[in-house]
Amino acid sequence: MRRTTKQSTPRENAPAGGKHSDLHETIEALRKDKFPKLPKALVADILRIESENLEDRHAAMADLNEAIENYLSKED
Amino acid sequence: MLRITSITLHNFGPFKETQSIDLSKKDGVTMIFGENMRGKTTLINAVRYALFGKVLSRGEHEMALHKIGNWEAAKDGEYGFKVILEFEHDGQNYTLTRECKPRSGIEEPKTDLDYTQTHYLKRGSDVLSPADCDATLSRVMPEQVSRFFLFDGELLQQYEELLMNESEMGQDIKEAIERILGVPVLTSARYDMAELKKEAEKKESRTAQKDQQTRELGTQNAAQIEQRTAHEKELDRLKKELTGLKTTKSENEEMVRQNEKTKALLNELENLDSRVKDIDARNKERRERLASMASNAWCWVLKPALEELQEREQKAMATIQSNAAQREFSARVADQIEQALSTSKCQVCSQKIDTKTAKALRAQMAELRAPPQKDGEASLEETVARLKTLREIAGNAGGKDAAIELLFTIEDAQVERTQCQARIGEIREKTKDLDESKLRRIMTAYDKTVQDIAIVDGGIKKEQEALKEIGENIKRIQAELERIGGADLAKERQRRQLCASLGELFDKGVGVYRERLRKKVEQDASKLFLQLTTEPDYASLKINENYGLIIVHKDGDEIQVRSAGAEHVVALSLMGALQRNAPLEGPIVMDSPFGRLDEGHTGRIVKALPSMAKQVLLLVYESELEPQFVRNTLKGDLLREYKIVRKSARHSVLEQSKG
Repeated sequence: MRRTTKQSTPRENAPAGGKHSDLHETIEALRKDKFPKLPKALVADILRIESENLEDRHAAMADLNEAIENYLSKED
Repeated sequence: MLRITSITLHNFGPFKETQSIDLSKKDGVTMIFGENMRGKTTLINAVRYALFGKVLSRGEHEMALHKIGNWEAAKDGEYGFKVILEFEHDGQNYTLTRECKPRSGIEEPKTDLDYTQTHYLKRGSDVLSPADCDATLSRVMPEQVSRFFLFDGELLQQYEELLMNESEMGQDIKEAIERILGVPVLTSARYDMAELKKEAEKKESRTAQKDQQTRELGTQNAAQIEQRTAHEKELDRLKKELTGLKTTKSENEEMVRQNEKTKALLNELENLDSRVKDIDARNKERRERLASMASNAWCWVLKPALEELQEREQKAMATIQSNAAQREFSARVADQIEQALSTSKCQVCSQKIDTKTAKALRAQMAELRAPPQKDGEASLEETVARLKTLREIAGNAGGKDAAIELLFTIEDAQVERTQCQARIGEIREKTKDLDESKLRRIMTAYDKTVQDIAIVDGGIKKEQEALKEIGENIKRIQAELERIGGADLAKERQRRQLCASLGELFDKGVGVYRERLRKKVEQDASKLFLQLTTEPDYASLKINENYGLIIVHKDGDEIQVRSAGAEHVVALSLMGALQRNAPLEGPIVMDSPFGRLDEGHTGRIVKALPSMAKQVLLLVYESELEPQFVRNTLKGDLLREYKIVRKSARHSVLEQSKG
């Protein structure tokens, strides 16, 4: 059965442990510096999806597709 | 953070019936003391079984389930076992139960196939669905990183593999380290963005094909993308092949190294054999010479007597020669007297010889002509002959020193021969199972692997060039589509460009994050290492690409060779640093980590334990770490003490002794 973030509670969705903040900080600093046009929220969303779905690539791809689609539709 | 609050075992290993350990919810250390074979490793395995359904042997091989249940219980007809792990994670309480029991209808299970396993996870009082159970467990404690939480102190030397490039185990550990540090989040994001970009490109082509104006370009783009997919597939295949070949090469290299050692031994054997033959030949010749010298050995004994005889004969010869000269002179004088008498006149002064004088002269002449006295006097010839013989014999007597020297040379050579033979014996023992054809096969296989790597490398380069060309074609087509395309295409293009930029961000992010992690791990490991080591001359640890740690001396030199104890301290420093930097926090459950360490290091490590992780569960035997020493060192950080007590060889009991 495919697991998606929709089935999980917000608590479950939180990145495992507190030190994912290092990873988020690193990427956010890089985004700001080199890719300022990329949306901050989408980047954070992708990192969250990846950290939650490391064991389930299908679920990760589905959630990523959904996140990008949502972003693009909002842009429209 | 994962915090274990209790471990309950039922007929698991030596823990017969149901036994529990309750752990404090405070931060600190729990000690479990137990002698060898009482079940310390089994306790780690119980946690491992609950979380991952696996039990590992010391060699890290998975153990058969059939062998895990309590033997005494099995004897009483009760097969199977169960572990219940209670833990907290992010403020929620969980109860994980994993059980292994005989399949229905099987009364006496004999193999793993006769058992069935079940597990379930409760969050609070709610039982999670099997999918949510597995997802939660893999988030709480992924099996791939469990080596940093549940570990056997004896296996810490594995981390030395991180210092070796291309070591398979080193690569496995490196992957696990990157996993615990969260790198796969970025590498997966990078990969997924690349996949989504490809999807967007395909969609873009399809959309272009739908429009009359862009159809041709859309078809061209689709064809290029198709070609790119084929080349990427081939590139992947080649890269996998290259990885396989490199693994084979590194395995072969090890065998070639062994082979080279063997070859060196065989060369040495050949040289030794030839040396022994040479010694034998020379000694044979020396012995013959010595035997010939020994035939005159009696001369060496008689040398002083011979010298005396020679002296005597020389004196005798001098006497004979002197006597002969005297006789000759007398004869000449007698002849002169006779002549003088015959002429009655002196031959010198020509005076007449009177009668009286003539008479005296006749008497004197008679005396001079009297035959010589030769009593006991040997002839000159006889004496010369004797002297000659004596000189010959004395000449032979002079070979004694040379013979002794020759004898020593033979003995020295013999000693060397014995040494050679001993070494030959050692080498023959080492190479007794040697299969020379196998050695040749290894060398051939190694050469072939090197050639294959070159071929595959060439193939990879070719594919990369083709992909570069296709990439440029696609870019050109995309630029053209952008110029002439409509709104539908613009939307697809926006998706593609977004995925491309995100992919680029995560690609750069992997490098930046890795570098940042390496620096942080290096700093934290160095800090911890200086707390743990007793060597004041060590200044820090230096991290390599694989997260291997090298000790740096205060003079700046890297310590190339380190002891098993130092290796242990470095590995513990790495463990501590990973715990500090990992997004995933959990307990450290350590089995016998002090076996290789002296008292100084042990004390420092015990003191540092509370700073390594919030929850530490330490399993030791009392002679490895005295309970009172732990109490004095940890003070308030020691939360609880348990003891594993022997009931029988197959039955241990957990008893709480403090806390």
